Amino acid sequence: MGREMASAGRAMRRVEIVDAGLGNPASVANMFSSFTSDVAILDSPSMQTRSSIVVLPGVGAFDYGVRRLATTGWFATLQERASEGGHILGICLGMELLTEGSDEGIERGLGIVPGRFRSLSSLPDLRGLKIPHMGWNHVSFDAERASWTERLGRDLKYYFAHSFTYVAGHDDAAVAHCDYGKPLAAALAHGWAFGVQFHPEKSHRYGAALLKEYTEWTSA
Amino acid sequence: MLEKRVIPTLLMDQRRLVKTRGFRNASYLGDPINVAKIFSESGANELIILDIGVGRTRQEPDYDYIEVLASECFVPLTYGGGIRNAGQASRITGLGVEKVAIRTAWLEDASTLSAVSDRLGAQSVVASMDLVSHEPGVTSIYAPHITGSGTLDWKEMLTLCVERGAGEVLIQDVQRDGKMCGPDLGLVGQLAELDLTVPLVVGGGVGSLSDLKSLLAAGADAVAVGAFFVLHGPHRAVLVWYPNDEEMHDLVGVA
Repeated sequence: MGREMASAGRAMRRVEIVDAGLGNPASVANMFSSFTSDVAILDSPSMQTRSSIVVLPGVGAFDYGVRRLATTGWFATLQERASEGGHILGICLGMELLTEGSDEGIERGLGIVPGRFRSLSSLPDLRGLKIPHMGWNHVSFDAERASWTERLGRDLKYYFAHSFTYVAGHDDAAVAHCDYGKPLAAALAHGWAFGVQFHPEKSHRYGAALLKEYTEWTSA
Repeated sequence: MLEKRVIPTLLMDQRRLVKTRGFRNASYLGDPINVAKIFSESGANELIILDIGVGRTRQEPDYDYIEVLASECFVPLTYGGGIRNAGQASRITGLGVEKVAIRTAWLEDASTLSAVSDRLGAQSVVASMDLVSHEPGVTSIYAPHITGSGTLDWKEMLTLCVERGAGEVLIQDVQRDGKMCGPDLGLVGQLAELDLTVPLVVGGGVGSLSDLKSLLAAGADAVAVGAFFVLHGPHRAVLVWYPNDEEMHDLVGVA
């Protein structure tokens, strides 16, 4: 695992990871570093570059996340980046922050991806199931909506740790689902923004493969 | 569907990996970083690392060391030991640790859980509790360093910790710790009957794959495994291992 994975030929797009005090940029950087050397952790939005992938990781409560993004200047920067067509990858709380909002808090999200987040405990289909949704669950990707995910193969599983789940508005941005009482959105895509509910940086070889395929796809 | 979990649980003291028996007589096992790396590379579901030295000495958690440990883990890591407030918890998750386990601090003041949970979300907060049974059928909380802990009701406290923001509960059976003598399935049954809304992780006494299976069948969402994954044979030689894919499928696999 890790260092032995060599990148295959094509130059990979630069990966820039947001450090807004929201959890674990180092873990994410670590996983990307297993297959590409052009990885940086940015504490300031002024350091981002147009052509990179900007990764927004996150562990934390929604409102705290929004306020940290606002305080650090990342909130406006990410919105601007999305409107200019820059790649953004949101992970867990990072994915939630990309959307319009969450029942977890009162703040508005970035609004880059349509839809919002509802608490798992408010969904009747989940009655009797433990909340948070915590552990390894199997994910199927909709290759028609995200063709590059076909390269991931089958029997995919990743580590989930969340209490809120995506609910679509007019546009359903979900491109992958897992089953927990009912199908839950496991990944979202809208424009050049992509988000995963699970933690690829802690999903061992499955997570590594996903990040590698995603990065290669953006680099094509 | 969501799989149940099998979680190697490691104890460390002054950056040394140790194993206790009945929460006493810690013996040296090796280097925590090496062992964490082995479990991560073996594809362990998750890893729990508890610093049993820092709690005793009431120091700050060993942040630098935790950072290195986290950097070797490509599977989720839970850290516990000496965490008393949201600032420390937040600093630790910032180092690459997914969940923080809190024990003494919340038994003394349950609002610690709310403070940490408000900042990190319940999914990052594990309430840890150790149980002991001095008379048959009578279970109590084991917390000798907390005055008055003998009067706490373990079932009430578990319900309370969930209300206060714990996203997971970790229960360790003190008397079976390190003995690989088989777990107390009756206790796990009682825990399952509490019907807590959050995942239940239990540990203490696992000595075989069959023990793991029984615990999961008895209602645990995950099993914390200590000695069984690091010690082998009658002389308790150090041997670090994790079940292979086939064994895991048999334990937690979804049809």
